[in-house]
Parts: sequence; C-alpha cells; structure tokens
Amino acid sequence: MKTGTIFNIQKFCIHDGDGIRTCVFLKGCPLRCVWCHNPEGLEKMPVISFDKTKCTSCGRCVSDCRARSINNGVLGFEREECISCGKCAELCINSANELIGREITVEEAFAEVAKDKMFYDTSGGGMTVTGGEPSLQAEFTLALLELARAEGISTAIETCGMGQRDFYQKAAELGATFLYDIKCIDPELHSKLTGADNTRILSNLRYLMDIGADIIIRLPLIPGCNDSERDIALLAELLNENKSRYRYAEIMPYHALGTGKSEKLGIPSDYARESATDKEISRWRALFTEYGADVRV
Amino acid sequence: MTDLIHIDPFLCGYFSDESLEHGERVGLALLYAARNIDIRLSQRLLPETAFETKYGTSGYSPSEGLWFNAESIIKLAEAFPENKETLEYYAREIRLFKSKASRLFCESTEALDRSGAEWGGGWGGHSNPDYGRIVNLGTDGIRAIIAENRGNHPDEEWFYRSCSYVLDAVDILGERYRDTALRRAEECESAEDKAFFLRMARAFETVPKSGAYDFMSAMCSFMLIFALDGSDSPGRFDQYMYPAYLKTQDKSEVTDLLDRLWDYFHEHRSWNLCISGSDENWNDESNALTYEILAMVRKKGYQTPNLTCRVHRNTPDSLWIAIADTLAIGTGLPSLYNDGVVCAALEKIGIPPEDSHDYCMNGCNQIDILGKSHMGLEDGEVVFTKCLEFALHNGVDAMSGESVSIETGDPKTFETYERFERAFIDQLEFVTYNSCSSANTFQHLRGVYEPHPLRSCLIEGCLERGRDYRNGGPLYNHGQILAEGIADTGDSLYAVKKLVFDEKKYTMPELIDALDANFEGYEQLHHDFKNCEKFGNDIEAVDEITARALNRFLTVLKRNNTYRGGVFTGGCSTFNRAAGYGRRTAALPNGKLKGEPLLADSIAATPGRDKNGPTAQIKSVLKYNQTDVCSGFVFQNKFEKNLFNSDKGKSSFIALAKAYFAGGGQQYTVTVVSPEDLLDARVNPENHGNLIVRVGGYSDYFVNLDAGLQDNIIERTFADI
Repeated sequence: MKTGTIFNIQKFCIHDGDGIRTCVFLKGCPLRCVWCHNPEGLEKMPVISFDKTKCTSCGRCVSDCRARSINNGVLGFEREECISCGKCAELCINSANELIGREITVEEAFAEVAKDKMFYDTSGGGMTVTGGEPSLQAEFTLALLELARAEGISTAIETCGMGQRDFYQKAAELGATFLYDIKCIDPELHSKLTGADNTRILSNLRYLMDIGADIIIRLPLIPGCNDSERDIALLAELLNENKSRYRYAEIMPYHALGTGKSEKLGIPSDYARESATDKEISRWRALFTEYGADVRV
Repeated sequence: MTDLIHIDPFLCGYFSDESLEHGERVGLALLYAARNIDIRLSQRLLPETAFETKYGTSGYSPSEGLWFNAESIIKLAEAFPENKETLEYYAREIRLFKSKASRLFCESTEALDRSGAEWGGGWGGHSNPDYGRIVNLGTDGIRAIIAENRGNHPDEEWFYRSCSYVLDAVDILGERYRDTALRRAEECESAEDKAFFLRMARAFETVPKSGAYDFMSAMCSFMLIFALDGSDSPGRFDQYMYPAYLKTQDKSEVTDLLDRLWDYFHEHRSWNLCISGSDENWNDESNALTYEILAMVRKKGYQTPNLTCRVHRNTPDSLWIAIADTLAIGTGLPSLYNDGVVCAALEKIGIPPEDSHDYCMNGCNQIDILGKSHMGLEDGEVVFTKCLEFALHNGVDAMSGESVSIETGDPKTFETYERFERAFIDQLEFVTYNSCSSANTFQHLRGVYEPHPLRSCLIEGCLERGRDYRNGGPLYNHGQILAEGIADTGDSLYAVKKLVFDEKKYTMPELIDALDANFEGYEQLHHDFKNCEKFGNDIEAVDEITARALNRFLTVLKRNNTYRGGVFTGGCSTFNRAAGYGRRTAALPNGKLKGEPLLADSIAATPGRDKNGPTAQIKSVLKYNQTDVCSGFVFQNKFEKNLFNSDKGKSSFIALAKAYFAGGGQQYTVTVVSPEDLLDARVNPENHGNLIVRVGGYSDYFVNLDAGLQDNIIERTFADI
C-alpha cells in the first residue's frame, strides 16, 4: 500500500482551482521562501506544534518524554530531543500540543476526498493536491490522481515547479490542472528569496505548455520582496510570450494568515508583515496592465 | 351605553346578546369594533390601526383571537362611573369564562414541563390564511362560499353568522378607510399626497367587497385584511398578488407600493413572506414580482419580514443569482426551502401534490399550506438532552433531584451499549407521548375558547365543513412537535458507546460519578469525552447514532393523532429557548457542563463541534431522513458576509445549496457572522471551531489565526455593520 505524509485534508476550499475543492496538503517542500505561510508543510517529518500560551505546565505530557521537563514549575520543551511520537498531543487537555503531519495510505486519503463528490458535481470542483510540494511525494500524488480519475473527480496540483519532469508528464496524462507558482523571473533574486535557482521551474513550465497541459499561473506577490516594477515587467513578459498556452494567470497577494505558526513549530522566522493592502494590489494590477498582461486577482 | 360603545366596542358587541354561542359573540364583537373603533391612515397607504382599545381592555390578536383583560376593565369601571356596574359585570363574566379554561390548562404534565424535558401546548398564533381570497375574490366571493355551504350544516348556523359578521366588519372598515382617505386628501398640502389619498379612496370604492382591479387596489385590500389579522405571515405574496401586478401598466407604482409596504413590515412586526415555488408538475412559479421583492429586500436591508424563497429542480439560474445577491447584504435573508423534499414530506402525511406545492411558512419556519391548513405551530417541544439525562439518572431530574420520569434502570449496572440506548429511547418515548397529550389538551382548549372566524373565512375547509379554523375546519389539521438537542444527544450516545463499551477506557459507574461531580476531579475523562468524534463532521458512526435517535422520535410521533384531526409530525428549529434548555440540563457525556447554555443549533452540530467546514456538516445532516419531517427542519451555515462579495463566493454558495437539496435537504439558512461571534470566539474558541473567515483571497478557520490577525478581522467586521 502506498502511503504519504500529509498535514491536512481541508474541505470547501474555494480559492484553489475551479468550484468547491478538497485540498490534500502534503508535507515537505524543496523551497524555503522567506514569506512561507504554510511552515508546517516545510519538513517531510511530522512535527509537534506547541502553543505555550495554552500550556498550564500541568506536567501531564512530561512522563515518558525525553524532550519535556518541568523546571521551577514551568514546562520546558527541547525540540532537538522530540521524535514527534505525538503522545503529548493525546495527553494534553488544553490543546497546547498538536501533532502536525501523519502518514496515510492513498486509499484513506482518497476516501476522505471522495466524501465531497456531490459538491464537486454541483460546483465543477474536485481535488487539489498541494502542500508542501506534491512533486516531492510523486508516487503518492500520482496514485491519488489515478483514483480520482477512476471516480470521475477532476484534479489539480498546486506546484512550485521544482519536481522531476517525469512527474509532470504523468500528472498531465492523468488530466490534472496545474496551479503553477511563479515567484519571480530573475534567477538571483529567486535564489535569494526561496533558496533555489528557478531554471528548472521555468523549464518545467515550458514543458507543460508544450504538451498542452491545463495551466493556471499563480503569482505570489510579496510587498517589498518580488513586486518591483522590473519584477512585474519580467513576469508580464513571460505571460505575454506564452499567451494562449495557459488558461489564465492570477496574482496571489501576500496574506498574513500564517503568522504565529512558525513560533509554535519552533521555526525561526524573521519575516513579519501585514497582508498586502488594496493600494499595493491596485499598483500591481496597474503595472501588469501597463505591460500588456492580463491577470486576475 | 352610547358612551361605552366608543370606549370599548368589543365588549359591547360581545355582550350584546349573551344567549348566543361564544363563537357567534366573537363575530359580533368584531363587527361592533369595526363600526366604532378609531381608525387612522398614514401617508404610507396603510391603515395604522392596531385592532384594540386604547385602554388595553380588549382587542383582536392572531394568537388569542378576541381577547379581554379583566383587570383593565375593572380600572376602566373606576374611570367611567356611569358605566361602573356594567363594566364590573363584564369583568366578572370574563373571569368566570377564563377560569373554566384555566382548569383545563392545569391538567397538562406539569413536572416534566418544569424539568425542561418537554413543552406542549403551542402558541397557536401563526398561520397562513389566504389573504389572496380577499384580494382576488373580495368579501362577496367569500359570502358566495358561505351561501353555498351553510345549508348543509344547519347545526352550525351560529358559525356562519359569526363569519358573516366578520365579513361585514371587513366591508365596514373598507368604507371607513375610503371616507378617511377622502378627508386626508382634503387636508393634504402636497399635490402628490393628495393624489395618493384620492387613488386610495377610489380603490376602497371597490375593495375589499370585490376583487382588486390593479396593484393599488390589491394593496389596499391586502393591507386591510393583513393588519386586521394581526400582521402575521403574508405567505405566497408573489403568487396571489401577481394577477393585480399584471393589471398594472406602470410598474414603478408597484415598486413604490412595495417600498411603503416594507416600511410597514419593518415598523409593525410581521412574520414570514414566501416567494417563488413550483406547481405540482414542477413548473417554476417565480415571476416578475418575485424579483421585485428580492430587490426591495436588498434595498431596505430590514430583518422583517422573514423572507423565504422556495427552490426546486427548475429554479432558473437568474433566481439563484438574485438569491445570492440578496444574501450578500448580510441579513441572512432569504432562507431557502426545497420543494423536492418539503412536498414529498407533506405527501407522506396524505397531502396531495396539488396542495403540497402550495406550502409556505408562517412565523419563523413552520410549514403550512397556504389557505388550506392549520398545522399547529409549535404544538410542543421535546428536549432530547433532558431525556438522556433521565436515562443517566433512572428517571430523576438531575438538576432538581426530583423523580419526574419513568424508571429505566440504574445506568451503573448497564452491561451493553444497547441497554443504555434502550433506556434513552424509553425516556424519549415517554416524554414524547406526554408532549403530544398535553399538546392535545391545549388544542382542545383553543378550539373551544379561542375561535377565529376571520381566519375561518380565509382557510379552505372551514366554511365548507361549518367548523372553525381552530376546531378541525381546515382541509389539513396536523400538529407539530419540535425536537431539541439532537446532536448533543447523538454525541453523548456515541461517546458512551466508544469510550465505555467499545474501547472500555472508562466504566459506567466512573462516567456517572464524573457527571454527578460536573467533571470536577475527572479532567482527563472530561477531555476524552469532550474530544470524542462529534456529529457534523461527516463521520458515519456518530452521524448514524444521531439520525437513529431522531428517527425513533418521528416514528413515535406518527402514532399520535392531533385533537384537530391529523397526525403529529416533527420538526426542529432552535429558538432562543435553546440556551434555557441547556441551563436546565445537567452535565452530559458530550462534555457539556451542568447548566452550560449550549445546545445544538437546530438540526446541525453543537456550536463549534463541527470542524470540517460546511460540506462535512451538510453530509452529516443529510443522514436524517428529511422527508419524514414536516414542520421546518432548520439548517444554518454561518458565513462571513464577504463570502458573497465575489462571484466565486456566490457560485460556491449556490453549489453548496444545490448539492444539499439534491442530497435530500429541506431547508437552508445562511447566518452572517457577527462581531459578537468573533469576540466570543477569542474567549471560547472551542465553541467556534467552524468559523471560516476570509482575508484577501484566502479563507481560514478563525480560531486558528494569530491573535493580532483575529483583532484585525474583528475590527473589520465591526466596520462592516
């Protein structure tokens, strides 16, 4: 039985493809975007989210745990010692501990997705595999797509474009729509913001366009990071060069919904920002128009 | 006496001939009142008269029909010494009459009622009389129906006389409104107002005696009868007003009149107005007036009247879009009803398709057949959670320590889950039978003491059978008992099954001790029971137990006939009483604390226990067989207002509603998240696990957000209001 590591299956998602969708969030991502709003998806391994504001230092979670101790009446948590067994989450009566991520079989995951088929039928929706990055769990993702196709459920993959060519080819053959993220065109800036070069991302995009895959280009714009006039001009150029080779492009304005998650996960993050303002969004829109590219927000 | 007839014409009419039947005297009281009561007309077209005396001594209301207040009559006697003796005599007679009624009232099952397990009797006020009968046939049309039928019922001659008095009263009011309108026209300064009152006076030349000839005359006729009936529920307004709409050339006049009407609705509490629907061949019945009404609801933004929109397999996309646009203003209107399920449910209790397709709502969401039924309006209520409490305490009310119900065994000795569920079902059946029998006591009382000749003229069957609307006259006379706390009960039953009998993590004695201690000292047990799987998350095992409990209740109900001559059917809509029921209930295995005012939101999950979004909640409530429920089966989803601000949000909502209805859902209401909800969610996140909010193009669960972001959203929501 094929298994994958996921951190959520979320129903009634209406911003991740057509209609009403169920998103399967896979763990593990090859990029390290400085603004990441789903930090729980970065590592493949399950991880404990610890909300110290809810912790009463009652000590229930301390016995049998190498990572936890009570010092001077206060709970101490040594993350390096944590093996993500999840016992603390079971024992905690204050919901301060939560195990993020679990291994699941393809069949189990798909059964949860299939529960909402009636809503896909009335809305033109389906399943979106996202993350993290689906291409890192290629076998699991492709197996999900196959089951969905057999049940007549349409599928989409949200990807950063860093996967293997082979994965994209198979996913396209299975009829998936690609929600394809392009963060920026300048390779140096891309490396600086995400920790990786974007050559492969752009090449995979061209490949998918060449084979006629259904593509929605998503442009995450982060105020002050990748939204300079030059950045937008380059993005517009990419869109203009490939008109009619993708369905549409949409700006994904930065939002601060992920704020607070990093601390609970023990991930150092110095990126703290307000959500993009209406003014910033209008500016982006105007720039794209100026450069002749048609984008949605 | 000449004086008294202006002071209190109701009393004078009622006591004009004491040898007559009570019902006939009620008709006379209305007739005297119509002749003599003060009437006023406002600029807004509409009669402004509450149909009662200014002394609070007597009047006419939808719930009681004719009413008298003996204490006020005594006070009046002091103020009018020349009539003192007469008035004191009237007060004595009225007290005597009421005492006969109250003796019967006391016979209801008091102990159970006091415990908060059930409530039987109903308010009996709301109904869906066919105002269109007056608008389109006129009182002369109704007189013709009387003439046709009274010969067949010689013993009920007093009933026909009473109805005739009421029709005469309606005509007299029409004439007096005409004269008042003429007088107002003379007094008016502005030419516009003058013209308006003159048109009104002209309309009252024809209506309400004859049918309306245009929208203005139809509105005059409608308003007269609607106000006289106590401003209750207009019912299928877009259907019975449509002929008059068609006869009006200038549609801007229709818009103007609707505007005035909505202001009237807003100022005088009015109840349920229903639009759209299908005929028995599933042809769509929405029309231009349907859209006019939706536009007016958007323009006014009032919460009244409660707007219901019927949808079905042939509802056009244009109407769906107009519905979503209307929901976007954030008042939660309209609520949607699915003809496919409602009509099927009504047909199961013997109402044929040609009539089932004429259903509409009265009050909040009780189903009636327009002008053909009296379906009881909340004849009673059964609180599932209290029945469960009895099962957990062998028939004892754990809040008072009193033994109020049957003994179903000491739960500490139960060795199987089935034994426990049996005890609950026995309690539920006992309480349900009690609720039905006390409901029948009240139905009987209302039939005898509160006849309603006006509604008898507007509801088919009454004049044909020679029987009052409250006494089995209408074509359909079913009753309704509401279920409360279904999900809390299902959650509790499932938690006991799983944690005590399947996993054997706890024993029954441990659980009972923990409940008796209100979980104090049993924190781990409390945590485990509270966090057990809950109804509302599309989890088969717990949904199935919950649906089974409801089905049992519905089966028992159907074995009970109503006094008026129908069967009892079930419904579920949680009113503001729910918190009170929660307060009167002890700790429960779903983790509810003693006295905690929490109870399931109608048929849905206990607030906040559904954590998988609206689609999972919908899947869960579809486990109930909704074609077995005939009295409003309310399902609410809470959304942030700005879900409806984008086309994608609107189309997603429409898809949700369509899926729910295609899957067998009966009713769907949208509630808009209020700032208070959000503030409470910060303090009590466990009660708001289902709150989805939108930031930019993204949605997330409110309780998962960082505190600073929560603040931003709260501010934004306050700014929205």
